[in-house]
Amino acid sequence: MLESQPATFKIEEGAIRRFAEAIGDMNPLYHDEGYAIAHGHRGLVAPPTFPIIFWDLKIPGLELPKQGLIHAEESFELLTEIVAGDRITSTTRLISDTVKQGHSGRMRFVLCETTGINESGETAYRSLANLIVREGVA
Amino acid sequence: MIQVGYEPPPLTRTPDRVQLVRYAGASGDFNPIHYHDEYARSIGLPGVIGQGMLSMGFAANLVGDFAGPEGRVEQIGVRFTRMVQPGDTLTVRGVVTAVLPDDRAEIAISITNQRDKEVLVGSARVSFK
Repeated sequence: MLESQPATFKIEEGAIRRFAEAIGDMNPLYHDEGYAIAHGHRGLVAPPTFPIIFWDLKIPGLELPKQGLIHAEESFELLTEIVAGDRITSTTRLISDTVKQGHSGRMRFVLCETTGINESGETAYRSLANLIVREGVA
Repeated sequence: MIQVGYEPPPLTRTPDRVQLVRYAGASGDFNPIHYHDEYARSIGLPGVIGQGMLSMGFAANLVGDFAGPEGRVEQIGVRFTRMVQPGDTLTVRGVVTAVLPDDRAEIAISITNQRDKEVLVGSARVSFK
């Protein structure tokens, strides 16, 4: 199976706050560590879509165009909470790469799964990205 | 007690160009279609478009609020159905579709724009504890 080089990231508080600010989410769980801990969390909580920053489409053997790539679907299974200070090792795998003939031309569907493992060896999250490449369309 | 059919308060979001740039920086996605008008038009887009993942962030905002301060989002999945342009007004809505054992629930999510067209549809599962 084609997959990216695994990479380990330490989750930083600043990155969490910056991400939450960028999406306009002022939930104190993502901004105030004391608040997060007071409500039973292990630390400053990463917002649910934060793991998107770990996906790595540089998969040897997978050719993706620089243009015309459409992010059609995305899903996250957040098996454990991710908080600032956690170390996540992430790998993106190619699940399928298929071409279908549609009304507006050939469409290529690329499905990639990214898995993040925490320091305890548990799977912290799994995400599935469905990318569409519209071939033959300007 | 949360019941099927409950709708959390909708959110309104009006992404502007600055937000698209902020999100590009925060997520590490520097695809020029999200900040460079001429480039976006040169590949057939109407101009700069918003990141699908930014819209998903808006959806996750509603779901995270719904989960509450002691809860967490266990699962969220969406489809991006229409382009979003800076200046659009987006309304994020949810409706509880199932109440699950162990203080959990499932919620259907949708985001529509100012023309009442859907830009995102999906669902999520939360734990309240």
